[in-house]
Amino acid sequence: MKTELVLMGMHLDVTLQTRHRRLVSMVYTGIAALIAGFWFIDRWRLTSVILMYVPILVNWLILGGYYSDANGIVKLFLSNDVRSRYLKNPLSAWSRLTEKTLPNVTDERLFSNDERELRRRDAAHWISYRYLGMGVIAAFFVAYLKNLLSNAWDSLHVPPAIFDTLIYGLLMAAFVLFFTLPQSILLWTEPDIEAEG
Amino acid sequence: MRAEIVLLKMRINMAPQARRRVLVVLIYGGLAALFAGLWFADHWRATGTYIFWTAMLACRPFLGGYYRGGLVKPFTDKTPRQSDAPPPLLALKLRVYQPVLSDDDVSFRNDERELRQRDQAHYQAFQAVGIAVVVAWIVAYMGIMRPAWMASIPMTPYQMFYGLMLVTMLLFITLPQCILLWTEPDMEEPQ
Repeated sequence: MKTELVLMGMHLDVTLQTRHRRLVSMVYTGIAALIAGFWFIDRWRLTSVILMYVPILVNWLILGGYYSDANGIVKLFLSNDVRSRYLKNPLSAWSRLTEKTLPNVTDERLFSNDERELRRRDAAHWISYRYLGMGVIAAFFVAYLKNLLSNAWDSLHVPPAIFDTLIYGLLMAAFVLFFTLPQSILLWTEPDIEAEG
Repeated sequence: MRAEIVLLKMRINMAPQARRRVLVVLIYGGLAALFAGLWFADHWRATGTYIFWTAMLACRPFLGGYYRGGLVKPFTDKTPRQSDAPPPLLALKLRVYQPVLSDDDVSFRNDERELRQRDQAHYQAFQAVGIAVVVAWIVAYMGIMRPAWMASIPMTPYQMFYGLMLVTMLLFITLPQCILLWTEPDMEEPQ
């Protein structure tokens, strides 16, 4: 995990757990505000496309984990696999492309996850899995209710669009969790990091 | 991980990796056949939950993980509470394996290696379930936008979405256990 975050030219010290937690809170508040705002703009029709890129951007700039290791605090989750493939043949086209997109790949200490980091990564995914599953189950349950009781909803004058919107919102939340939750758990639970040197 | 399944009075040795892989293939094959069959029954309208309950049923005597029975020890790493209630009728009829609490809870508690494997299996399963969520979301989006090319597909966007959600649910319930069963090498034979 990195100890410094470079955001819009500013060097932010992120060695303290309280700062990690503040960052995670800000990220989720921002995404929630964006989802709510987009609802008022066009009921998530065209704005959904923008929302697809938001978690990717958040990972790239702040969280790390599932995107380039350039800026994010958490090291790339797949770094060890990427590096071992790179070391097999550093002159191949794939390796040269990797070197361009992930310049740290040549530096094991900066790029690779050590044993402790791998364990923490897997443990964070074990916790995240259940939350992601809850989102999936909730979305399925709403879809099932819509299917099963369609006649009842008609007689109660409940428009089917309500279910579609609810399902869509739940899937949107699951999508955001998929991209951001493991990193956020890691940041939330990591104790204060000792600054190097 | 446990090395045998007890079903209908038969003790099936599951120590060899090949047998566990056959079991995984059989379970997913059966679920896929059910999935296809129920489409022809009523397009999964009311029968969709049968798939869900079948997956749960597969977890109970075979897979384990999210249940106390089955090959994979409970993921929660907690010993279940002792109950004076008789075992469920289905378990009695099928004579499935019901591990009894021992002094060291070895039937339920995971050791350090098993916890590590559990976490790793969930890391891998997370990617698969996450990708399924992304696909389901895109299909749901298509359902809202209704582009003209979707009219040529013989399923409605909602049916596609519902099928995808069923698949995602199935993966969520079964995938970590199946990854563990698939990757665990041959175990020592049960005594």
